[in-house]
Amino acid sequence: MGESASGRGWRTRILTNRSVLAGGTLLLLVVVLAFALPPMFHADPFAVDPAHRLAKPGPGHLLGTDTFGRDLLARVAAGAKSSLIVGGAVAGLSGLLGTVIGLLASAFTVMDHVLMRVCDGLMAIPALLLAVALAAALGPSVPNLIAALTVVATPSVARLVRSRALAVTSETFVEASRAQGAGTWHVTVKHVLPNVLSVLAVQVTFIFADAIITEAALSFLGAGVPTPQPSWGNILYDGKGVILQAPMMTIAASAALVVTVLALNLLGDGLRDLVDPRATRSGRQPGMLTRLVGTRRGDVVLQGGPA
Amino acid sequence: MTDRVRVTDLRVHLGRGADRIRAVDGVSFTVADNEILAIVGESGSGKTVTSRALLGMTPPDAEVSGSVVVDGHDVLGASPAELRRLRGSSAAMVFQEPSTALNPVFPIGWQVEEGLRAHGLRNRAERRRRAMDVLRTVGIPDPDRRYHDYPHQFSGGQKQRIVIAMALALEPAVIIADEPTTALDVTVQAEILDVLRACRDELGTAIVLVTHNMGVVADLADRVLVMREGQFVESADCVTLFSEPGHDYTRRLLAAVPRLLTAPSDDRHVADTPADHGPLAVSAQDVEVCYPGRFRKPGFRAVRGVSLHVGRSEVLGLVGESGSGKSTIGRALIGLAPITAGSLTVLGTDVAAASTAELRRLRRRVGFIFQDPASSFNPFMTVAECIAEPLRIQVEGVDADEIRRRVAELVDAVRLPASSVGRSTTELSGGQRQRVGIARALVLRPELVIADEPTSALDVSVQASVLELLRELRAELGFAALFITHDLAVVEQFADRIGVLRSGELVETAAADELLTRPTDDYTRALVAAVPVPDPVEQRRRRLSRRDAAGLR
Amino acid sequence: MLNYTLKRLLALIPVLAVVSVVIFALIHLTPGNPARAILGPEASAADVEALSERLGLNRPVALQYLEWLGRAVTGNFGDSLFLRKSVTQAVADNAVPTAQLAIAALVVAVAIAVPLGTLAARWRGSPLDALAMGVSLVGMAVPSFVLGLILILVLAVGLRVLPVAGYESVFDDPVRGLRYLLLPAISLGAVLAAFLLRTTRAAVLDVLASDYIQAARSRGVTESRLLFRHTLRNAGLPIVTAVGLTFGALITGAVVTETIFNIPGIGSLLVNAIKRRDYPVLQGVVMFATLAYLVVNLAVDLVYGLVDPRIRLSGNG
Repeated sequence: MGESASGRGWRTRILTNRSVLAGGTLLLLVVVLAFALPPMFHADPFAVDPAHRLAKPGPGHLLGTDTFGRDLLARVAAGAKSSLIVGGAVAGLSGLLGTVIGLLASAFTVMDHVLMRVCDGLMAIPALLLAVALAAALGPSVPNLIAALTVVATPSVARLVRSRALAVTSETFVEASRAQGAGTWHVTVKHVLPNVLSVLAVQVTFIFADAIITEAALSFLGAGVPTPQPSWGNILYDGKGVILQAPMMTIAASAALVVTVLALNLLGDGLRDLVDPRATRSGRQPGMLTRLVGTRRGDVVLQGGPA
Repeated sequence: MTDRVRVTDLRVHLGRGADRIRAVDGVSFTVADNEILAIVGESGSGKTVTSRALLGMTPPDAEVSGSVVVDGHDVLGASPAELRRLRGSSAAMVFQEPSTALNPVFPIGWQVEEGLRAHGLRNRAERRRRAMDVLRTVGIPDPDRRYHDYPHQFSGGQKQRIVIAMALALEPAVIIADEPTTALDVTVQAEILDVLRACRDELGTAIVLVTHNMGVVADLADRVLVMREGQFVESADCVTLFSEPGHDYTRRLLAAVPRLLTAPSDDRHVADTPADHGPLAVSAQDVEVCYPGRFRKPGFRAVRGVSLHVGRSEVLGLVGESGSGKSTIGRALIGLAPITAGSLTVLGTDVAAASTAELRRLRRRVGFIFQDPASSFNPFMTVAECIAEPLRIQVEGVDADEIRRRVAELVDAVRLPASSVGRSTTELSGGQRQRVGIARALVLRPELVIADEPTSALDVSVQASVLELLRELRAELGFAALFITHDLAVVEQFADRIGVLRSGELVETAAADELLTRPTDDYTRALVAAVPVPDPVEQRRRRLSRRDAAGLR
Repeated sequence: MLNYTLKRLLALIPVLAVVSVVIFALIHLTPGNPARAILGPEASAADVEALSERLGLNRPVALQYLEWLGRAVTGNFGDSLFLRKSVTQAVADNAVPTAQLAIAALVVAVAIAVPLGTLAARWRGSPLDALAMGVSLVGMAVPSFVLGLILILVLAVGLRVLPVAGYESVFDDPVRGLRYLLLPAISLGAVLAAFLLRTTRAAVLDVLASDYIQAARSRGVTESRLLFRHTLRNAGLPIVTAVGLTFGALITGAVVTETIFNIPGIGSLLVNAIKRRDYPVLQGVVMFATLAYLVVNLAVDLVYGLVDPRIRLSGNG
């Protein structure tokens, strides 16, 4: 029957988008730093060496050492690993959970009211505070951290999926489907899901970025990744006390954090530009001039066919 | 008579690189005082860009060359300050969509005054007086009371009057009206055209009217320019253009305009042959459709007490303006709108009492064509997938070959090239998409087809070919049809009988010819009278008789 | 308008209900006995029992919730387990510095974002626009506490221009207070500005492309009047809404920023409560922050309703 018409198109479009390329490359670098480098250099983030604490960058310790003499580069790399794992897990789990909740809410009115009130409530509590409170209450461990951050992130995904699903089901083509006798299952799978997945991908990318920031903040406050396991937040906290003697701790961890989040933001921005139809970015009617310029575009008249 | 507008060899290029197009390709024309010049063309002809160029309001990246002189000022060579000065005072614009041309957060009085303020009128009392005057001129009742009201508190027709008032506030020599009545109901349209005519007759304004509607042209224009792909193909005075069109394109355009009361064509039933006896395709008795209210808001009765029927191989046209309930009835026939009273039997099934399975079976036998080709298809699906979808939904275990064969059959029947099956619908033009819509509606060989404004979103020439296609398919396949539209001329081409809806109630039903020549209800009469006819002589006659009738009351 | 207000108030009720359940549940999320978690593994069974009794942990959960709710509605969140005062008192004592920081940061954010965003939209595609977008992109990748640390490194330590940490209330000594507040306000405000800049730019672009602005231009209104009198008035609505929504980030940002600059506000109250598992204080802080956020958004909604004539005159939100 021929592959999906937009199939060929969208893959190339994604790969040639500048934002996506830049963000993707940066992210890849971070992943390499986190997973590939440490084994290569046999760097141990836990090896304590009090004799060489707060050493300046030099041979043996490319970024110097921290307050306990541990190699800073190893710790930053290990921090990258835990940030990526935590962030990725949160993004994936909240994406999945949020989609299920959002779809259920869009399909069944009673569930809709209940679920949306719960989401509203959770979203009313400022995110970091909710995360802190949950993480503190559950106890210090990485799985608990992931759970807390997932609870914080899921409501916004649910809301997004729900509103997109509702928008799609009010489109004429869904009405056309129903007019031909389609049931809820057919409509959901063939029409709603493909249209939802695109915005979901964008949202999940931003959740990944937010989760990394929140995890760093939590670790900074002492409620995140438990010491001595390294996390950028932990390193920043330790570094604050010795900011005069070992500024490298602050600089290295900050740089790593900013670069990773920037990479994810670029990726998300690029994806969003691809997903948002140009003229209806905010759902309004295109203005006169936009319509004007758009009169001829897209109106390809196929050869040999009547208009 | 002085030429208020003189355009010489205007060329406008839009876009860059691969998208660069010649929107306007060397046009020249003049407009004098007391004259209405209509620039007519289909979408993409360049008429709107031309009108924008008169005020120096082409898109920022457009390349404009040639000469445009308005009220003695050179527009293209003007500095920004000079342009600003001439906008509003030498020439002013009236826009198509009145609800977006008015700023929602400022009162209308203030907005009318803005133009005056921008041109140096400092005295507040004087500004207010002039603004109120002009509002009164365009027919806004009680301007002092409504001066501080906001746009959303006015109806569509009133909003358009306000827009015209803003254009008139500085007494410009030229008014440029870009599709001023397209977004309005037919009865309101006639009133707005009257206002514009008054501007010409009483104020001596030169008016440039941009439109695609030949009926409006016949009603209003003195001279006509026909535009196509950036160039003028014909220029003539109104009466001559309609009676003896010179250029081939003009002739095609005029031929494609659906005309009321032409001789019935052969493949339609002659009016007095009764519909075939036997079981009816649709039988409705006192149907009411009521959308429930929420909390304190009352419910909305979209349809009340409607009784109608459609024979097994008959076409019933359902006509009404926006909000009349016609689309709701169409949807009610297949259970997509809640029936709160009365009985509705479609192809033997009682729709109100049907179970989900029964409705599903019914929907297999009914095809639905939607109005807006832009949104009737999932952008992720190819043409083939769109057409095949009903097959997949309704028929168990149909194999891929069978689907492919059937799709190819239909693509051929609606005269689309075979290569279009693999493309996304977003790559097709409006007319082509509508053909896909027809193919989709017919894939299961329905006994009844419901067409909801199938041609309203299409250009005039495209409209004609799509209607032609529908007529042929119906002759070949013999389905019954409910044809919903607001355009009387279109429905006349297709329907055996016509029902007129107003605010949810059926005011009259009769055979097509009967209804259009001898309407019994007042509303029907007003509707028929308000439809502009693409014949200036005839139009003038109707207008005068309308005025006489109004004068006598 | 009345209708609109009532609807908003009514909508708050289920939200508050859910929030109360979540906050109440915090103390019960701890695996094992919360009292034991607070006192530590070496505490005697008797002590643990006494604390459990005092916290009411031996009663059925539903009953505990209702009692807690009853007290909470009157503003009584119990007493801190470690500080010798009630939770409400503790929050009140620490609220002022946080409020000062939040307001100062908001002022910084709006002062940077709104003019810059408007101009970026007006001169879309220009170098100014590209610069603004670039700055915004980077700004959104930098958490406020990271920016705070960097600013300390550069300005306070490197250049020795401003004090590194400390606090003086603006009401006591305005000049000194502001000096202490400057770095924290900038680090928090700048990050917020990055986000608000985008929103402002998008809102202004939207309005600039609208038909009514084109229509006004066609009547000869000057560009600057179009921008400031017409466009901002229309764009102001979504911008104000966005500010309301960022208030949550403002609060949490303030909380973290305080710990860096040693400002004795809600943040340090929170951090200590976490360390010592002072659950009542934890609950009190979260509740206070949530209420503040909800109140601000309600105020924003009401202002929106007053300002948009479509809502003000018809009463429908």
